[in-house]
Amino acid sequence: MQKFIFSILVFGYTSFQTTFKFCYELQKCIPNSEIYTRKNVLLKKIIEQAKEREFTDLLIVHEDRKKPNGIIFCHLPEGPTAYFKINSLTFTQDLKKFGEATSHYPEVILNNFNTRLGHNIARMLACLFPHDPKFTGRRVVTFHNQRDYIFFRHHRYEFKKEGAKAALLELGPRFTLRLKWLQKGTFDAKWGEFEWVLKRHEMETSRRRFFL
Amino acid sequence: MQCDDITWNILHKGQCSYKAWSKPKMFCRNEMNLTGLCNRASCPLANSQYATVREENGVCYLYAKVVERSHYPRRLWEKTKLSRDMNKALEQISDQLIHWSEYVRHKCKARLIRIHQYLIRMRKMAVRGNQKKLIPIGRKVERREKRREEKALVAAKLDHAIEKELLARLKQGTYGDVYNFRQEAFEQMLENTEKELEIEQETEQDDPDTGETQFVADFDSSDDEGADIEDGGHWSPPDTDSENEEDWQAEQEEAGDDDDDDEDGDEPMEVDEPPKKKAKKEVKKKASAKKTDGKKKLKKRARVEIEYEQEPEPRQRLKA
Repeated sequence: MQKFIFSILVFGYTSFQTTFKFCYELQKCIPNSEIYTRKNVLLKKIIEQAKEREFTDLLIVHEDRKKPNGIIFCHLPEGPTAYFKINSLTFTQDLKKFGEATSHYPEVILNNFNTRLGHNIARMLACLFPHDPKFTGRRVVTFHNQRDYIFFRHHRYEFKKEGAKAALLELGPRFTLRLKWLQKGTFDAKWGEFEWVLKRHEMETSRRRFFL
Repeated sequence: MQCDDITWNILHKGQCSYKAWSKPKMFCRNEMNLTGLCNRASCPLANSQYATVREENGVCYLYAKVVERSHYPRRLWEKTKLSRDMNKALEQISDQLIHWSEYVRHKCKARLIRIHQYLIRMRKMAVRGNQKKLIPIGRKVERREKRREEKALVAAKLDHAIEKELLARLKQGTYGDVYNFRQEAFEQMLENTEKELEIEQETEQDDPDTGETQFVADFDSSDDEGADIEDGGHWSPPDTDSENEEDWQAEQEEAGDDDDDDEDGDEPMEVDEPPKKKAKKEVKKKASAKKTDGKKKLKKRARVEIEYEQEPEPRQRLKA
């Protein structure tokens, strides 16, 4: 059985509503996931506990100024660890038109991940979801990579005109991820081996050079 | 020499380099200040009898002011090391400051407690090694990233891309039997019926010529199909044999029409005119021409019967 975990990293002693809300919305998208609050526990300890409970992935949401601003995404037991920045988060209720998500396992669409690093990331993201989607649920989760920005969308679709068209209804939250670093092994800030780190001055020499 | 009131008046109303202006209260920047506030009681310059607690590298010291040495600013403060144990240190303070004012004594103790608290917290954090590293966020970089993200979003055409991907999956057949669109279902049904028919023929019949059952499948009358299969052995499709058709045509004409005699009489005339090379083809053409002519004539008489003639089923009956 696949299991996933979320945990909330709190900078102060209190966590704020938006971060919780974001976690619940994520839980809606990702089946078999659980939310835990991080009670000032060290990340390495959390990883050990998660391994004991046979979780397959660990997402830790960081917050700043009462808003979620980053995700540490750790594949367990010994997968890679990535850090994403969250941009332009829109909750479901703020959308113009939205539907209720069902409990069917969603399909995953991974668009435009072309490089080696991109494949790596795409695989990590795909592993977050069960491998046997229920097509009757018509749910689809999209990670669309465009110019190193990964757009997350969650839809319900419907084929119309005898399969010539697909109508989409948005279900979940919208947000954009930006990869900051990718690390081999589980989280280790001091001794971990970084596979890739976004270095602005060295890398962003050209606007047309992309890494994912 | 020391006159506290005059000093305070000058400092309070005039210029004091330690004053820090802030909205609710004024603060003092002097490091010897006991409370950090700028008021008469806790001003280190305007009080001759004054004491404070300070921490240097994790060790607390009690500083007591000795006004008699005010002309030696370097030796103005009497410094006593306080015990690491907080209770003992508190006792030390109350012993040392026995002649000082209650306010100073109390504030010194409070300050000591405060210092001990933050020392404990510092040690804890150092042991745990879980200090967050704060990284500054470049405002311009942030702005640039945001703009690029917006542009990327426009370039992505997300809905279009998702729809395309979904349709591609549908075409690939990822969804299997979930969707039954009419065309597909129809095609599948056709295939199935063909297979069934073939199986039946294989079991019942041996003749390969009778395999052209598509003709039957186009018309949905099931009774006819059965009849065909039963008769199949005898019946051969009319389209294959041109001679038969001609024969049949001839029969029809003989049976049905007496007026055709005129045309029959004309026929040989026409045949004689063209050279003999074309013979067979010409004959065929003429036969067809005859056919049409006959039909036209029949049309004039009774339209309903003519339509009957064109249909395949009555032919069989005629033949049978």
